[in-house]
Amino acid sequence: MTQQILKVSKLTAQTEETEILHGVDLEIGKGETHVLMGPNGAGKSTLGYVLMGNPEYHITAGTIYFKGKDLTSETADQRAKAGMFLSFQEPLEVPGLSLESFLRSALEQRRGGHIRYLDFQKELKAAMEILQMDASYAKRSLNVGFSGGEKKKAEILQLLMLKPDLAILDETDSGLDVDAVRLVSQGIKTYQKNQAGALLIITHSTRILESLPVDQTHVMIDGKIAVTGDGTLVERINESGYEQFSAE
Amino acid sequence: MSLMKNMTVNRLPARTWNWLKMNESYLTDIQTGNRGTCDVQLSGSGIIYSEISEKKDDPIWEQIETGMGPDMKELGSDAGSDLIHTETGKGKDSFAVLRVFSEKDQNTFRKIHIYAEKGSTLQVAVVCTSPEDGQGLAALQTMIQAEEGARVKLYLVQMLGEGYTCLSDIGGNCEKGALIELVRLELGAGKLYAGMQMNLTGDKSELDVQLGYLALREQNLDMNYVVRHTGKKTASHMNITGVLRDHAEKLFRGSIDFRQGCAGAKGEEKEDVLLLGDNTVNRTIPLILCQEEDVEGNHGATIGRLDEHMLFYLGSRGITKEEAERLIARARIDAVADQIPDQNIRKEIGEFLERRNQY
Amino acid sequence: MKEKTYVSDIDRSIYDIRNEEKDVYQVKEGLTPAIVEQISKEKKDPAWMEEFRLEALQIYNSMKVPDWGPSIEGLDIDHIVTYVKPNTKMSADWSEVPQDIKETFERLGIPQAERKSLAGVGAQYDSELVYHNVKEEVAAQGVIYTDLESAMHGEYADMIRRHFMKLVTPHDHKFAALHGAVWSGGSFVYVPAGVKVSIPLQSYFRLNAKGAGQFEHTLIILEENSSLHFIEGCSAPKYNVANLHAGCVELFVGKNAKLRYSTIENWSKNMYNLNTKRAQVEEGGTIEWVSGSFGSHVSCLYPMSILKGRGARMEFTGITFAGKGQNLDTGAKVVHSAPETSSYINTKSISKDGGASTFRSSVVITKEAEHSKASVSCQSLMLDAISRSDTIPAMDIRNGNSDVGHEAKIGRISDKAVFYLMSRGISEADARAMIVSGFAENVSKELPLEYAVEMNNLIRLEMKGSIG
Repeated sequence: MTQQILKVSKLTAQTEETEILHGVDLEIGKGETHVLMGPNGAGKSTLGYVLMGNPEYHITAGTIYFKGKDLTSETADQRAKAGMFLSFQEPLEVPGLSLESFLRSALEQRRGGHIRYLDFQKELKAAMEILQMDASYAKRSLNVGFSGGEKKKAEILQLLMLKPDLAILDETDSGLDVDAVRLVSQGIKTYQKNQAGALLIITHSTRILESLPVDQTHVMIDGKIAVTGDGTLVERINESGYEQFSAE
Repeated sequence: MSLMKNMTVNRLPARTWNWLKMNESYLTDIQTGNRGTCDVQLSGSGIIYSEISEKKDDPIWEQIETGMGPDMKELGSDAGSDLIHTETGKGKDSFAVLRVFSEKDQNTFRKIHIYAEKGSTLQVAVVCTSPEDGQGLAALQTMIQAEEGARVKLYLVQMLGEGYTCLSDIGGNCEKGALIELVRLELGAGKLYAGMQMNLTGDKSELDVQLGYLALREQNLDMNYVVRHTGKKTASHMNITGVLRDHAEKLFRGSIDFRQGCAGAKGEEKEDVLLLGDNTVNRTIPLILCQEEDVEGNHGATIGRLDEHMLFYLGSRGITKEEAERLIARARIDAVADQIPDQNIRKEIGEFLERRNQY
Repeated sequence: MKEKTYVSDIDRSIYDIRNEEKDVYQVKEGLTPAIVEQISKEKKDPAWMEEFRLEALQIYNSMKVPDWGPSIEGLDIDHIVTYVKPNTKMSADWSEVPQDIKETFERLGIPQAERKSLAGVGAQYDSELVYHNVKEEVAAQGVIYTDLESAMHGEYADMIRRHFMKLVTPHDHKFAALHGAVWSGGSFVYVPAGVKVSIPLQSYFRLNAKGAGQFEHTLIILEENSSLHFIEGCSAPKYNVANLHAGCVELFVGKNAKLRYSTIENWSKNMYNLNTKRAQVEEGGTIEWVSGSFGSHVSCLYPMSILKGRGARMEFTGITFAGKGQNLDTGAKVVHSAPETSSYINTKSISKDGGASTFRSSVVITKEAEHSKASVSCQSLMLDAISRSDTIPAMDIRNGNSDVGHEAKIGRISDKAVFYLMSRGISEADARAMIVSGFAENVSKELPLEYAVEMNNLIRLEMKGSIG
């Protein structure tokens, strides 16, 4: 009974010029919380992008299986519809497109049908309250003029509303103040609870992990997973850094 | 070498409403005599100077399009040229200074050809001067061919007396990975027609232009700058700073032309004009022409007076409005002039500006 | 109140002025004084108008076609009479209307009853009733809202004479002269001092308007302290076999008055749209232009504002979308001829599928326009490598104490933005359409909601390549 959500095998990917992932193996089970750490330039964010299908990267070898289906050559929107979600490290601004219209479109895609305006508004309001986001953000252009913290909150708002099966969070706590980290963690916890969603948390710091029970920790170095352990691995890294794992 | 002409110069790459009178400019009865005098000083290694007499020109120069257009080429078709040349990979510390002097009552046409071979570096300064109270026509055409990976820096300083009409044209071509940097100062001449067209034909070639102009009294400046991107991932940057006062008139045409196929190109143009006085005529037409999807182009222009706050601040330090205007106008020109590495030239510029400002 | 503007049937009889044999002869001669006279007689023009038309014809014959801008080669201007004089082809059969036009009506959800009207097929749409009601409502405030032709015979005849083609004169350019000679139909709006018209008014077409809205003349006069929002056009494509639109709009904005003039133009893809619009603004007055240009094969559209009185203001917000086979040359012109005037131009343009879009503008600040402000901002979006986008903005500033700022940007849809939207399950095509709609928000937010929705639908259709 493997309720396996994600199975990545020997994933190798590159940009136009450089190979960044050199054969990554990773498995995530339903509802599990995994942490991905590693030094700068190791390829952590790249893995997130490649899993989500960013056309900037080309997969040259390996596979991505999501809920038993081979998604390796699927486009980003197909992956999203299948239940994958990526919270961007630097969320994009789209002038003229309101947060509200955008969310409604995404939601309709996810659920495969029209959503009544009032129902949508109710859900949106509830989600925004969890994150203590001011209602006025709904009508503003997506991420335009949002502070770093507000952008991250907007990402988690999307997470709460889209209810994916796997959420990949890329440096979600970077640049946030204490209160924002607390609210974002709350949002993530709510998602996990309501959805039994799986998490892949890509992070440098461990602030966000303080309130989340971790099932597995992976350390990525030079485009490969160097070591996998449980939650205690996080503490070891905090104490002694990454060098202990660089026995390559 | 005497030619009489009706000339059409400074054509806009794309025409617009004729009533604006910006599409092109017309000159009548332009006559040029000899080459005038020029003092050449070379320093550093790897730089070669030679004088090419009439009609022995390399066809490479024919192909380079210039900002003022074909009529200017025709005007100087019989003129000989100064050839500045660096050989492959050489010229790292080289510097050539050409002082072109326009005598009184003379109409001269001088051609300067700058040729930088593969991977070479070349710095040239061209300084144009004349007697302060002289009259005449000073025509100058500078062409640059930068081969693959070459780096050319051209400093062109025009300090002619107000009795002169100046026709100053530039045309350049960059091959793959080459770079041309132009620092140009237009500080004199009663009537100026100036052009520049740089063709970024090779992939990843680059252009950087810093232009500064100062027009006083009844001076009239007519300019046409074009950068044409044909190679992929080419980059251009044009920064124009101007000061106009009294009854000066100026027309600046600046075009960024992205041709089909120049994927990845970036072009930027910025013009900043300071207006001092109520009778200036300031005309600007910054074009972007684009036939390629994968480009980034932008241009901006700000035109206006001195900030009231700035004047108040300076005033509170005892500086009058007139003095403040002089200081800030000078500062703007200096910002461009400071990019010329030759101390002597900078000093000359300072002296010229001092003399100009006294009236 | 939902109001729409539709092209109604042309009354062809006026143009069928000769019998069969002479028709052939007519075509070879082009537009003659005799034809213009006949037009004038049929319209029962006052004497001054007949003279005016004839003079305009002379001017037309003496002027050359412009040597800049998009080519109008496809327009057979020497045989203008075939456009002015409709033959059997002009009032088409529904079966002759191009399939893609019909499909667009379908996709835009245009009610069956309106489609024929839009296609110039001549069905009678009961717009007459709608206009009648609006007319009465505003008449109570003293507003005159009627068609220009009949107004020329009423109590406003003199006012019209004093204003007609004084802002856009036949000397301005060849097609203004043509307009002066054969103009037909159009709206006349007069708003008395102090009246703020609370509902937007729309281009008025009487059911039997001649010229099928192609040479219509709109004249709007706003007295002191009044305000009005006028809407022209609609997003549904207007189709006509005769493919020239040389209309004219003249707007007189009085002291401290405010006029908002919104247009969505979606002429069918065979049209040459050479419309001339001009506003004159008195002291303290404001003109706001909101403009969406989507249709026509070739367009030359540069609404011009003359800021005549101290403190007069102009705002122009526009979007142009050039798709396959289109060459849309649009922009704005403004002349500051009084002190403390201000102008703001904000446009966006999109080029796709080999379309060419040009932004062309001029800002002129005369010596007398002391302490004026002008700002121009234009952004262009290229959607592929076969299209064209040119920006040709000119500034001519003749005093030293005005502030002028200008910026232009050109680029493509950010791949990252597309990926971001796709990562939320939105398909690539939808993601691009959403980004382009967002790009066009500068205009859509200025339009009444139903027009904004229509405009966004239009963008979606254009992005999917379903139109034309």
